[in-house]
This record gives sequence, structure tokens and C-alpha cells, in this order.
Amino acid sequence: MSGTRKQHIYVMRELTRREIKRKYARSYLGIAWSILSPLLNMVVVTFMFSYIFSKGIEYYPAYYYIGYIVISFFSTSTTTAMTALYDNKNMMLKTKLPRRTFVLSRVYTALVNLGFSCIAFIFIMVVLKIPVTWMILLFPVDVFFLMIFSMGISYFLSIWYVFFRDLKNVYSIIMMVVTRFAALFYSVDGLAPGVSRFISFNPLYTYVKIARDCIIYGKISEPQYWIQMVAWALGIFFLGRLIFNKKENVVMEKL
Amino acid sequence: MSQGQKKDKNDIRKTDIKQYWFIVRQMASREIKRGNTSKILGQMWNILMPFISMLIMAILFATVFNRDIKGFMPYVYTGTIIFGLYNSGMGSALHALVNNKNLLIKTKIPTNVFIIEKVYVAMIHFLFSLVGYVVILIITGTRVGPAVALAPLGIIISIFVIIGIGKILAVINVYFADIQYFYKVIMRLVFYGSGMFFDVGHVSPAMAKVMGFNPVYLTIHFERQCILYNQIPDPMIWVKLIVYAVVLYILGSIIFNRGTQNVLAKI
Repeated sequence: MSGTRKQHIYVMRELTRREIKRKYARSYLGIAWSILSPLLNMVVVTFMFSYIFSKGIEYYPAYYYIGYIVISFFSTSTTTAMTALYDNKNMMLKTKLPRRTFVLSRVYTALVNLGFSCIAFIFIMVVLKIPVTWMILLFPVDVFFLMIFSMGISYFLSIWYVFFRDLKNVYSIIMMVVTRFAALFYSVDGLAPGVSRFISFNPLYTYVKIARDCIIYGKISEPQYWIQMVAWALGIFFLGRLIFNKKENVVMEKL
Repeated sequence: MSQGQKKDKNDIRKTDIKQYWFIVRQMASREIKRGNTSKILGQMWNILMPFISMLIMAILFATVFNRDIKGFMPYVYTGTIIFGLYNSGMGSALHALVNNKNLLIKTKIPTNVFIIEKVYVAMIHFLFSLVGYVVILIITGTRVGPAVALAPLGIIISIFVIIGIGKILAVINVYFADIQYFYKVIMRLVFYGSGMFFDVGHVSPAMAKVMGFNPVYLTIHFERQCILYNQIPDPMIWVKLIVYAVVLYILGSIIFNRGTQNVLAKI
């Protein structure tokens, strides 16, 4: 049992390696882009918005950076996982690997990217002189639940995509709503009460908020967010897994 | 080259242009069909996507900036569809040469066609999004005046800007693939710096200066003036946009023609 498990993990790492290689196939800087692009984005947004939106936000560049990398992790993992089953048709028919592996390897790839982006954050903390507290240890917990959440969504999307190719368009609309209402570059404080309430229930905002609070501001978020963090992750994960197990054979026939 | 050969070349050119245009349309229709995978919704996405995108931004930023949502919708919409035109035109031109490797090697289609085709597809998507735009103008009771006749001019000028930049990007991408990532970052700067949801008055003076040189912002401002406010766009905007179009188009063509000669070897 543990032997096959090891094998699966090995396969997943190989798939991930392939994925990353392919993504940066022709590029000179390669994986360094995982560090560079959020950094450049932060510079751009800070330059633009330090005037309009930064009022009342301490360490604005860091505030944006954390939000950006957390949301990019979610959006790249789920959008790439959506086509995972479809893209790996041939390999799935020929091998006996559990089909989940293909979906999970996409999420794992995004996680590796997130790791690199976090390296750059150390640099930002030094430059902005953000005090480091023990609360930073809560960040991996947040990422763990975010990953579980992303897996659940990914399971669901990868199955549905086989039946409904328009899902790409539908999902990009959903992502648009969810990311615009995740307080990426503005603060929720100035908003109308209805809108800020809506944002506070947004699962992505929950993960962003907890990450910001524990890393930048050295505090623990309100219990509401911790409950949401766990509830969203577990709820979506089990639901996604359930749908995946139920439908994976139907999907194989369809492919 | 002798006089006779030159004349021959001109004759060939005329029939060629017809042929090229045919190829452009064929490639474009293939691409459009492939892009919309479902038959049910098909082209509807081209109308729906920019519409929903506008709606989200309008709702969010009307609350951030305390603006009346009704007037804000056409304001934002003018911005989002023009940004969409630039972004999809330039972004797809970026991949025009690299992704058409096979066609480039196997056929004698002039390389120009690949760029024109991408911009043509972006233009068609843009025209679709206009459907939603007109609906919003009617719903919000926006009255257009005679100045609206100038609106197509602004779009035509920006097409030249897009082709020029697109050509430069496509060539660079052959030699330096990392341009894709730079492009993404720069487009984020352009995205926020084209005043889709705020006026120049809202940003820092330094930022306002930068925006004044952003062709996307200039086009958006141009269209807002003539569609929403029934004004003739400011002379400075005309000058800047036309200079951009002429300079970028010529520069792009020169770089493209020089660059593509070596492209085949490189690919």
C-alpha cells in the first residue's frame, strides 16, 4: 500500500516537473518569473494606487503582494486543473494511475510557484522593515487550507469541463467576480456596508485576510474568518472529491 | 531592379492583396470557430464577457468612489471594451509568428498576414461587444449627439497603433520568449493606467502625466468625449494619437520586415 503511494507521489512530482519545464520552455529566466512577476506587479500597482487606494493601509506594497500571490495560487491551480483530465486523455487510457494524480499535479505546480513567490516576500519584509512575529507560523496553516479548497474546486472543474467546454468562459467570469471582490488593492473599510459584507464572505478574501493579518500585521484574524477558512476548505474538498469519485468512470467513457 | 520588373511587381500586388485578404478571413473564421467551443452560446460570449466585466467593475468602483452607478456604467464600459480591443489585438499578435511555425515554413503566405489576421479577430470581437454597449447606452438613457460620428475615427487610428505594436511584439517573441511575461506586467500597468474606472483627477500628478502618454487611455478619453459628452476630442489627443499611429505603424513595419527575414532560420 505504501509502496504504491510512494509511486504515485513520484509520478506526481514528475508530472509537476514536466509542467514547470513546459511552462517556461522557451524562456531565459524560467522559474525566476515566479518571483519576478508578482514583484513587478506589486511595483506597478503601488506606483498607481499609492495615491488613490492606499489610505489607511499600512505597508501597502506588502498588502497587495500577499493578496496577489494568494489569489494567483488559487486561480492558476484551478484554471490549469480544469483541463487536466482532458489534456492527459492518452496517458490516462494507457496507464493505471489514479486519475486524481493529474488534477493534483496541477495544484502542486501552482504550490511550487507560490513557494518561489514567498521567497521574494522575505526581501519585501526587509525593505519595508515589517516586524517579524511568531504569528507568521499561521501562514502555512492558511496555505494548507487554501490548497485543500483549491483541490476541491479543481476536482469539480476537471470533471465538468469534459462535459461542458464553455466552462472555461463561465469560470473566467466567476474568477473575475471573485477576484475583484477580494479587496486586492483596496481596503474594505471605505466600502458600502453591503459590498463589504459580501466581500467578507468571499472565500478567497478569507484566505487573503488571514495571510495578511498573520504575516504583515502580526495578529490573529477574527474567529469568523478562521471558521470560514476551515469550513470552505473541508466543505468544498469533500464535495469535489465525492463528485469526482462518482463521475470519473463516466468521464473516461466520454473521453 | 529594372523598370519592367517593378511594374510587374505592382500588378502582382493588386491580385495578391485580394488573395491575402481572403487568407486573412479564412484564418480568422477558423480561429473564431475554434475559440467558441460550444454551439449553444457561440458568439454570445463575445457580447457577454465584456458586459459582465463592465458590470462588476461598475458596481465595485461606483461604491469605492461614491459615484452614481447609472452614469458610471457607460463610462466604465467605454473603457473596458477599448482596453479589450488593445489587449486582445496586441496579445494575440504577440504569438502570431511563434504559433504559426508550420504555416510559416510550409507556405509562402506573407508574414504580414499573420499579424493582420490576429488584429482582425480582435476587431470582430470588439464589434460584438458593441452590441452590449449600445444596449447600455439605451438603458441608461445616454443621449448621443453629432460628435458620435467621430467615434469610428478613433478606433481606426488605434487599429494602426495595435498593428504597429503587435508587429514589434511578434518579432521580439521569436528571439526572446520572456517578452510574454514582460507584456503581462506592462498590460497590468496599462490596465490600471487607462482610466477605465477613474478620471485623471483621481490619481497622483506623476501618474496623470504617465497616463497622458498611454495610447489606451487616450483612445478611451477620445471615445468618451465624442460618445458620452458630445464633444470634439481635445486637439492634443488627436495629435498624440495620430503621431502614435503613424510612428508605431512605420516603426513596427520596419522592425517586422527586417526581423522576419531571419525568423525562418530562427524558428
